[in-house]
Amino acid sequence: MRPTQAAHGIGIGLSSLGLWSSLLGLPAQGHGTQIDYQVTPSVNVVAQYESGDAMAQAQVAVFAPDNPQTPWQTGLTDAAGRFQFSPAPSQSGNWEVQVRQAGHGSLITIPIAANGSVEPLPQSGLSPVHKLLMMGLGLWGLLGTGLYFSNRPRAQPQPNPEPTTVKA
Amino acid sequence: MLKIAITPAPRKDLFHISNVMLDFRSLLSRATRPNLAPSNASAICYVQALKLTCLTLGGLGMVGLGGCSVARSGNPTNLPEAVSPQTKGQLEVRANGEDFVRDGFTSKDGWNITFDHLYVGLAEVTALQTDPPFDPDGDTVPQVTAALEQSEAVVVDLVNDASPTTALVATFDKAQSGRYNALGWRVVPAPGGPSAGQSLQLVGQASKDSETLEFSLDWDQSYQYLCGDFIGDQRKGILKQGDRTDLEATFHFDHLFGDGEAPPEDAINQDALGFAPLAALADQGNVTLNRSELQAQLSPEDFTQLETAIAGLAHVGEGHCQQVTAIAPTPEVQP
Repeated sequence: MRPTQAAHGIGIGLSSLGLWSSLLGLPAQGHGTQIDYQVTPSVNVVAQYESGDAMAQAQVAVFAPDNPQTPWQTGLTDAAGRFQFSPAPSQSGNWEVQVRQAGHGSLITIPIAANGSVEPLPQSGLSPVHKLLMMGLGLWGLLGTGLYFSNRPRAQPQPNPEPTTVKA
Repeated sequence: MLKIAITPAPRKDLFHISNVMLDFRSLLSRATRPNLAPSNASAICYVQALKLTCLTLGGLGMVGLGGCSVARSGNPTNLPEAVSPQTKGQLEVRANGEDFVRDGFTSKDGWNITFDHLYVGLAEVTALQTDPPFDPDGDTVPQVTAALEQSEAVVVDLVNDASPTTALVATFDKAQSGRYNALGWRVVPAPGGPSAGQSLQLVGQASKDSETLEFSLDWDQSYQYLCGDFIGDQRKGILKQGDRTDLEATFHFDHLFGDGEAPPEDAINQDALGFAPLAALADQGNVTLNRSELQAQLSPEDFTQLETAIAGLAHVGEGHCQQVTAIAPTPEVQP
């Protein structure tokens, strides 16, 4: 598990609590309980219908990259259509989340890198940058064309040439 | 081979999963960062466009970019030039009309419908491996790493050919192993047989109260679909070496007639035609109509609803499909 800034902060607080217990003479191992913690990157998925309505209590199946056949985790969305899971850091690759309800279903692929971060899927359609560039070039072309014609010297009327006579 | 532009199919019952977020700030920033790294092809387009802009006032640069897009549109699935000849397993493509077709159901307006036959003509059945996984709800073009195609037309009866629940459409005995996470097909008029000339033919009975009607509905429109991963109780299309798997073209006929078990305000019933408008056209207990007769006799609103519902029948399990437009003219069929 990769520690984060948040993990260090929590750890310091719990260590301080243990120190004060010793100073006050309280039993540090009273009933043998122990609380461990781990801080893991988690993924929040929100599922909703095209109308914007949440997919409440929908079936969720999470598939790990190394086993797309069997769900790695299953569960239900909450009332707002949300579901959270923590992918295993040891399994980088495409995680898949399938959400189904009443005969409708969809699947999303989440590429998780080896360091636990999400890598955006390459877009196979026109990217926003591509679209923006096309718009910019269009405007540039219009402007250039306008300037070209506005600065072009007007053609001077030419006298009609003398008719050519071909002598045999 | 899919060669034409893609637009989303008319679907009002769809939903989407969105807002993939990570809890930690650093991960969130990476998760939501737009994809600024263009593909090699896009990068080439950019360079070409910038050069043209410098040389020809930019207007020609736009043409250059357009040229790149046109070139990609010419091969929207980016099929590889040659698929590896490795033969690893068997893949079947099957068609499913679901329980509605096999067992009958009650329409949104209370008609109990059973089918004797439900013929569908299918052609250009194409199983694809795509990476990244093709998203039929997104404005993307599938990036194909392996493809299998059966071009010839096949007619299946979703009622009687189902064994036990699905009808065989295509078999690929020497399929390259991997994840077949996209499926395309055309719905085409049958080249022969009992439904010759029709892409869809629905034959059965509808009853309500004491009235029973025989119906035979013919539809000769062609469609082309490109769908994503199968969504259902089991995953499909995962082919291991020496193994077999299947994909499924699923037809949701509750989208046409509605579902009497669902609330009237449910999207499935709001969008469906139902059977009552067809029952109103009965002649001596029979509703025997083709597409042009339906267009002439139904109200324009009902016919539009019927057209939209039929175009939206195609699914992969519960997963969605894009409807591909610009279908070639229907070929002449000799019955």
